[in-house]
Amino acid sequence: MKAGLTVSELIGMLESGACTAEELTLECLDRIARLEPTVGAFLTVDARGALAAAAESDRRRRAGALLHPMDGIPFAVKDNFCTRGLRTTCGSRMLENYLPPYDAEVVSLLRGAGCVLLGKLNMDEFSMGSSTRYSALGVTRNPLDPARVPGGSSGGAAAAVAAGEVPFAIGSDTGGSVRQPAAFCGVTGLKPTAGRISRFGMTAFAPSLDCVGIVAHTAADAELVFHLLAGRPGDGDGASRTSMNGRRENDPGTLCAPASGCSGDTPSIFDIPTVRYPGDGSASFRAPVRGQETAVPDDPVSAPRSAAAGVRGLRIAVAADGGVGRVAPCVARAVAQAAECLGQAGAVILPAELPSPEQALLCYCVLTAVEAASDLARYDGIRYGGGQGAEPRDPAALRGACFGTEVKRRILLGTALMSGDFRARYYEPACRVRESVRHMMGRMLAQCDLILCPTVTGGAFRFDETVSELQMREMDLCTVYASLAGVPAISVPVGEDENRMPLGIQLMAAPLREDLVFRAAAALEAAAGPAAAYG
Amino acid sequence: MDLYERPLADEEYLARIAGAACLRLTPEELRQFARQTEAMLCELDRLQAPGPLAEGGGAVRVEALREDVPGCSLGREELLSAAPVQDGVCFTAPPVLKGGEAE
Repeated sequence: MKAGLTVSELIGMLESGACTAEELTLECLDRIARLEPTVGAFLTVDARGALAAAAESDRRRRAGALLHPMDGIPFAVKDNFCTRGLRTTCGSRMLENYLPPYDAEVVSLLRGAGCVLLGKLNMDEFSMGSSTRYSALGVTRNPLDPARVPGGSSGGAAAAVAAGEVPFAIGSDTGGSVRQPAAFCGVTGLKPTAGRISRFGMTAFAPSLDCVGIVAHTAADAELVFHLLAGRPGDGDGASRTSMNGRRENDPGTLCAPASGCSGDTPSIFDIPTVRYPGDGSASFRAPVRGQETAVPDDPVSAPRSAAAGVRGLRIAVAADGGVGRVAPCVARAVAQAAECLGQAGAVILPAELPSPEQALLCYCVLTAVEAASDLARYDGIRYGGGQGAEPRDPAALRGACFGTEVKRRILLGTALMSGDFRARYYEPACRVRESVRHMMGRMLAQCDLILCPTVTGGAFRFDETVSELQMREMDLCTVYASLAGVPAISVPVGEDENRMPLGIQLMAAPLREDLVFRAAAALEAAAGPAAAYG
Repeated sequence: MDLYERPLADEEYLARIAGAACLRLTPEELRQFARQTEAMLCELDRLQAPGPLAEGGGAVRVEALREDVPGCSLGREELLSAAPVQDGVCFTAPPVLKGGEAE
């Protein structure tokens, strides 16, 4: 039984010959067949493609021609990543039969490393939601308690990993869409620095905030996958082609040093170190050292792993309530427990206060609605949508019929917010709030290495619970700061609520300092012990 | 900022917005969305309230967009394979004009 094993453990099994990639894939497919009637994480399972890819991997291993240490490891992706010839729906009737003619960059990289794509995972329609209940194509249940939601919008990714159907999964995180479901399902969820992983081929929700995210059993696994995907400048992602301080990169393989002329007194969040890639830009990023130029290793897997480095001497600011001011006692206990663990492991724990994130959440609502209304204009039955071979229809009728309620609500709000005087009344203040959040986070992260706070203000709720729109939006309260600031953040399972459902603790660091979040997350996992396997 | 009287997001207003958004709504949807949009706009008015995040900070601007760089394109056949409706050579657009009048 390999379900619930980590990527690192599975690599060891493949290397030692304890199993083949084909056996591993078959076992995942068996588990998917057994659990999917309950969990419903997958929208599409590509058994034939997966078994063919696994057989190829085994051939490469026998020939001593592995593409990467992760060659043969199965994975799945959220259904907003394009997969050549494999249905990509975004959880919407609008794209129910859409077959992309190309792979998203992350899918290309994973397939190029020999990883085996098992299928596509359920999500809230076009990533708009926090429970996966807004998928038009199926219900996903929390594997730890099928009466409860898995969170969202990457609910399928978190549920599939938590159920042991797949060792890791790729999701997307705009305001917490990887971290929140990871917390609800008791797994690890990473949102990297904005632009650190290419979004080419990922269907946009709100492009100024969208990030590729990783769901895995452990921080070490998330780091392994992160090293495979991260740090390729360009590759079609606007955010990764330009340095984070706004200056054009000097050459294709370099992220720039901070811009001269940045504000003098206040440490800027954009004061990032220079990182140099090898000439061909093909290898992955290693975590940079502040103020130093860091060479990127040719073999990211053999590079020192941040997760094993410990937290001794790291300064960790603890915002016990994430600024929310009204977290449940179980959440406060989980934060205190996490801080105590990190302190015992040698970290310097500092008390901190985040300002109330309510205004940041309103800003997030405005920006995402405006950007979504613009982005989703392409689904008109001419360029996209409506299904291949369908009769041409009036675009307004098609959009009215094929978009779900939540998507229509956000398109209408976004269109209203940019009409007439509303732009000055709502959109421009929202842009100012985002700028404030970036500066506030920059100031905080100049004084500490990490910020620790809750991921969510409670555990997963039941399907039959009445959850208001306001409560749904408040799911993003603790995660929205990292999204608006573009900083890396990870959710690690720590503690339980009164229903024995897992809670998540979030760690945020300065841009490009994913190494720090991996180190602290691994320390917390080591203190908590291995999670129980499901089923 | 001077808070002017904003128009009420009633059904008539929302019908205009739905037209701009190219969304055909049922009368029931129009009622429901008008109510929800008005409630949301009331809530979003709090963005203008003074607070630690309301003023904006510093002068650093982030230009996140890169310049367009031409790359390899997919072939015509591959591109058309993703088109909802096509005649083998071109995309097919639905008729939006009837008898010289906009539908």
